[in-house]
Amino acid sequence: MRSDPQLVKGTVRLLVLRLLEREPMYGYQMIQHLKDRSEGYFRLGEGALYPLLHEMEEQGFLRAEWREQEGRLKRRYYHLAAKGRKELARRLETWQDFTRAVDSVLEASHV
Amino acid sequence: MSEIDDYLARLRSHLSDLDPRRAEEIVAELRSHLEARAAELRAGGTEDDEATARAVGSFGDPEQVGRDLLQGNARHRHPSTLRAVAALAVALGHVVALDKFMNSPIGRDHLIAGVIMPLTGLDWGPAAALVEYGIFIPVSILVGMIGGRRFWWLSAAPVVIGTIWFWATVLFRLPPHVEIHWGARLIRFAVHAVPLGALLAGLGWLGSRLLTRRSFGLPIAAICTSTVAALWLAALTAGGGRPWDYGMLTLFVLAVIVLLLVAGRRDRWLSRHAFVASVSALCAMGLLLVIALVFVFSRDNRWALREGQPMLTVVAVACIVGALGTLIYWVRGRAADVG
Repeated sequence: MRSDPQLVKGTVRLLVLRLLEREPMYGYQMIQHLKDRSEGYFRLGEGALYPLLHEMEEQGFLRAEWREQEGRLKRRYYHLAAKGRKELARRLETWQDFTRAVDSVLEASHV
Repeated sequence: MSEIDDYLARLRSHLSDLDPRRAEEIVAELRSHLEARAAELRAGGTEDDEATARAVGSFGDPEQVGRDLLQGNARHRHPSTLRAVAALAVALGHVVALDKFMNSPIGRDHLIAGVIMPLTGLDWGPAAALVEYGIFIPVSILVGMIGGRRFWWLSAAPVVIGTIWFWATVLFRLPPHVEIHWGARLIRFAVHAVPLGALLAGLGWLGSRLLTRRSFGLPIAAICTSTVAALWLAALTAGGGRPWDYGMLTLFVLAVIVLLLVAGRRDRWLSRHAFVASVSALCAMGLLLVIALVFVFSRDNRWALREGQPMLTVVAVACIVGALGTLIYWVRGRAADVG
C-alpha cells in the first residue's frame, strides 16, 4: 500500500485522539499501533509525532504523566482530556461528512 | 558518548529557548523512544551499533525536530534573564535617545511640521501626540521580541519608571537638576501614562507573538531594529546636549550590544536576530552618516528643515536597511542549507 503524506498529515490528529480514546499510550506505542492497525499504511515520522503531541497537550486535548514500570523504561503516557473528547467528536463528524461527500462524487462519476 | 546521547545533545542545543525543565523532560521522553526503538531492532537481530544508528536516523534531522518541538511547546518558551535585561536596556536606552532626538534639529518639531501635518492634515496638537506615541512603535515591538512570551511586558517599563519619577519630582519638590529629564518630560501629564503604557505593552505582546512567525517575524524585527538604530544614531549625532546625555546613551548602546552578544551565545533566536540587527544597524549608521554629511555641507539646508526631509529619509533608510539585513540573512541561510 502506498500512502499519501498529505493525507496522512491531515488525519493524524484524528487518529491520535481516537487511539487515546481507548487507553493511555506513550509515543512509540502510538506509532506501533497506527502502523499495525493500518497494515503499514500509516508510518508516522517518528520525530514529527512528539511536536504534535505536545501541541495537543498545550491545547488541552491531552494530558501526560510519567509512569515507571518495574524492569522497563520510564514512559510518558498520554491521556485524552475532556476537551480532547469533544475535539474527537468534532473531527469525526467532519471526517464522516468529508468521506461521504467524496464517495458521493466518486460514485456519481463512476455511473 | 553513545550515538543516542550525541543525537539528543544536538537536539537539546536547539531547545535552549524552552524552560530548562521542560527541555529536559522532552529529551527524557525522546530518549525512551529511541532506546525502545533500538531495543526492538536488536531483538530483530540487528547489530548493536547499527540498531542505534537506525533508531537515530529514522527520527529525523535534530535541527528540524528541535524547531518543530519549539513550536509545539510555545507556552514553555523561557527567555533567559539576560534577554530580559537586554530588553529593558533597549527600552530605557530608547527613552534616553528619544529625549535627545526630540530636541534635535531634525527632531520632534520637524517630524510634526514636515511629515505628519502635511501628510495627515492634522493640527499641531494631534500631530504632536501622533509623533510622541508613534515613535515608540518600533522599539516596543523589538522589546517584546527580545523579551519573548515571558518578558513582553517590559515594553511598558519606561512609562512606569517615568511616571514614578515624575510624581516623585512633584511630590518631593526635587530641584530641576535632580529630575531625570526624560522621565518627567515623557510623562508630562499623568493622563498620558495609561494609554501610552497600554500601547507599549500591547505592542510588546504583539512583538512576542510575532517571534514565532518565522516568515514575517524576521523582516519586522529587522525593520524595527534598524529604525531604533537610526534614531539612536540621530540622537547621538544631534549635538547640543549635556555630556551626561551622551554618556548615558553611549552606555546603553554598549550595554545592549554586550548583552545581545552574551545572551546570543546560548539563545538561537537572539543569535540569529543579533546578526540581522548588526547588519541593519551597521548599514543604518553608514547611510545616516552620508545623509548627515550631505545635510551639514549643503549650501542651503532650510528646505530640508522646513520639509522634514531628513526624517523621511531616516524612516526610508531604516526600512531599506531592515529589508537588506533580512535579505542578507535569508541568502546566508539558504547558502547554509545548500551547504
